[in-house]
Amino acid sequence: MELISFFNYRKKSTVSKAKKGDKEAFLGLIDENRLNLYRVARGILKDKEDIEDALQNTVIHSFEKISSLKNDEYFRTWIIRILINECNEILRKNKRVMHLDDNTDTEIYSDSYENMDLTRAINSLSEELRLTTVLFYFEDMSLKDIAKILKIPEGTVRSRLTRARIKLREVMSEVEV
Amino acid sequence: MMQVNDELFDGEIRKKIKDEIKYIPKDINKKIDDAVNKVKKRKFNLKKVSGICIICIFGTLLLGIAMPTYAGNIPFIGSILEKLNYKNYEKYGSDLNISKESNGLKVNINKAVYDGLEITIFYTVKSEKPMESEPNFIGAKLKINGNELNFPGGGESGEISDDKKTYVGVLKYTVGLSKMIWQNTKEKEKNNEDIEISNEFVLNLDIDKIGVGKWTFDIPVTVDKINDKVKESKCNIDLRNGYNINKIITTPINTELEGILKDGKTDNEFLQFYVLDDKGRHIIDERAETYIHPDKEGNSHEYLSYMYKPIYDDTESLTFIPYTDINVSSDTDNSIAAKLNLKGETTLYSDDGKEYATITKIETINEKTKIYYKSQYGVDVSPFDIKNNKTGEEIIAFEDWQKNAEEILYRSSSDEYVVTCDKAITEGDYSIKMIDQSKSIEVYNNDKFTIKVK
Repeated sequence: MELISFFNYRKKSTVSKAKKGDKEAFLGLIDENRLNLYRVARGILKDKEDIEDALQNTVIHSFEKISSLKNDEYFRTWIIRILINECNEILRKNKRVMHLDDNTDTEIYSDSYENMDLTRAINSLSEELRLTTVLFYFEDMSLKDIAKILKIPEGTVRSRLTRARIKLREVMSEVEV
Repeated sequence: MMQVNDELFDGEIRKKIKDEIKYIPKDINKKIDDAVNKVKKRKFNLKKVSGICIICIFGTLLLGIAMPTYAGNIPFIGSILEKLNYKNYEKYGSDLNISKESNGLKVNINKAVYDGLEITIFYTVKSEKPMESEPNFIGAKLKINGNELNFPGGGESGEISDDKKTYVGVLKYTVGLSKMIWQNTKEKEKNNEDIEISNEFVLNLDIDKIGVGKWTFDIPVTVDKINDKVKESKCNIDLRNGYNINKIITTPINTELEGILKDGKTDNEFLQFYVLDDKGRHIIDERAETYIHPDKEGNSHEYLSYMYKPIYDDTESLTFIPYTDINVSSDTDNSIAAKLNLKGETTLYSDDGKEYATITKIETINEKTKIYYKSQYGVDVSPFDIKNNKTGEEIIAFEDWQKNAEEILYRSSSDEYVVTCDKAITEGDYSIKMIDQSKSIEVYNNDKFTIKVK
C-alpha cells in the first residue's frame, strides 16, 4: 500500500528471483548480507581458513537450498542459520582433529583490525555461549529468534546470555567499554 | 536475571562490536566472490514463469499505490505498523510529527503509543545522502517529566529503504516493571531512582551520538486513547520456590503478568509460563523481566514482569502452565525422529527411553492437515518437522515455527495440542522430527492456574 510495503515488495522480489535461479539477484542478497555473515563467522570461529570455509560453504549451500525457503521475508535469518550450521560443522570437525592430535594449537586469527578486544572476548567464550552471544550482539536478534535458530528453549537463551554478560563485563572492565 | 543496566550494557556492546568490524578483509571477500561464481544458474520451469508474471502485476499495483503516497509525503506510519507487526497500535496512538534535524539527518517522531506497560515510539530518519548503516537510538537518555528512567527494557526495530535515505523505526520502552515497583513499595522503601510513571507525561528523549548527530525531543505521551480497554485484575497465587503472582493486566497490545519473589528467595530457578486462553489458543510470550529492588531496610525483593501478546477479543480466561529452564546443554543437536504412522499413534522417545510426545491423530480436510499430539512439554513440542521420505518435501518445516507457535491449539477435553499445516498428508511414507526438550526444561503441569480476564 504505502512506502514500507514497497520496500518489502522489493526485498521479497529479490529473494523470489534468487529462488528461481537468478544469479544476479542471489549476488545482491549476498552483498546485502555479506558484512553480517562475516561478523557472525568471525565471532564464532577463530581460524581464518575456517572463516573462509564457513562463508564459502554458506554461499554455495544457500544457493542450492534457496528454493526450499518458505517465507521470503526471512532470508537473512535463514542464511544465518545455514552459516551457524556450517560453523558448527567446522567446530565439530576441529574437535575431532584435536582428539587425534592433542598438540594441535589453532592460532587465533589475527586480521588487519587493530582494536578487536570485544570480538576476541567473544571468541574466548565457550562454544554454547559464543553462538548465543554472536546472534544477540552481532545480529541484534531477539531471544525468540535465537531460540529458533539454535533450536533451544528461550529460557536457555536467556540464561546463556546472562552468563555471557558476566564474562563480557569482566573483560570489558579491563579494557573499558 | 536482568540487571539494572543490562540494556545499556547490551547497547554499548552492540555498538562497540560493530565498530570493531566495519569491513571484510580483501582476501575473505574474494573467497565469498569465488563461491558466488561457483553457483550454477538453474532453469525455469513453466510453473515458475507464471509466478513471475503474477509478481510483476502485483508489483505494478504496489508501485501505483505506493509511490504517490511517498511522493505526497503523507505519513506512512500505518504501513510500518503492519510490516513490523504493530497494526494493533495504529488506532491507539497519538500522531505527533515532531521533527528535528542534525548533521543532515532529519528525525521525525511520528507517533507514540502508551498502554501503561510499554511506550512505543514510531519514527523516521531521512538523509540526503545514503546512510552507511541503519540508524539506532541505542544509548539515548530517557526521562519522564524530567526524571531519568533508569531501567527501561525494550528494543528497536526498523526498516531502511533501498536507496538508504529513509529509515522507519520503532523504539519500545517497557515501563511496567518500574510502575509495579512504585506501586508495590511503601514511601519509606522507595529509592532515589524510583519515579512515578503516571498516565500522562512528557517523555524526554535525548539522543547524542558522537559523529552522527544530536537530537532532543519532548514527546507528549498519554494512555487516554487506550485506557478504557486496559483491565487490571489482582490475584494472590503462591507457586513453587516462593513465587507469588499478584496481578494481571490486559491491554489491546499487551498482556502482563506480575509477581514477586520475597526477600531471600531470589536465587531460585526462573519460573516462566506457557499461556493458553479458554479457547485453547496459545498466547505467545514476548519477554520476562525481573528487578531486584532493595528497600531502605536492606531487604531485597525480586519483582517479576512477564509480557505476552495481547489476548483475543473473546478471551475470557488465561491458563498459565509454569516451567523452568533446568539445564544448559551444550548439545544443540538433540533432535528425535520417527516414521509417521498415518493411521494410528506415533510415539517419540527421549534418549533415556522416556516417552516425549505422541502424535495421536493426523487429519486432512480440504488440503489442510491437523496434527494432534499429547506431551507433558505442551506447546514446546512445536516446532517439529514432517517430511515426505520419498520426495523430500517438507510438509511442516522448522521455518514455520512462528506461525505454528501462534496457531497451536489446546483441546482440554482430550488434553491434546493441535498444529495445523496447509498441506495434505493422505498416504505415503513420512517421518517426523522434533527437538527433545526434556533435558532442558521442566514443565509443572500440576501447578497450572487460571485467571479470569473478563
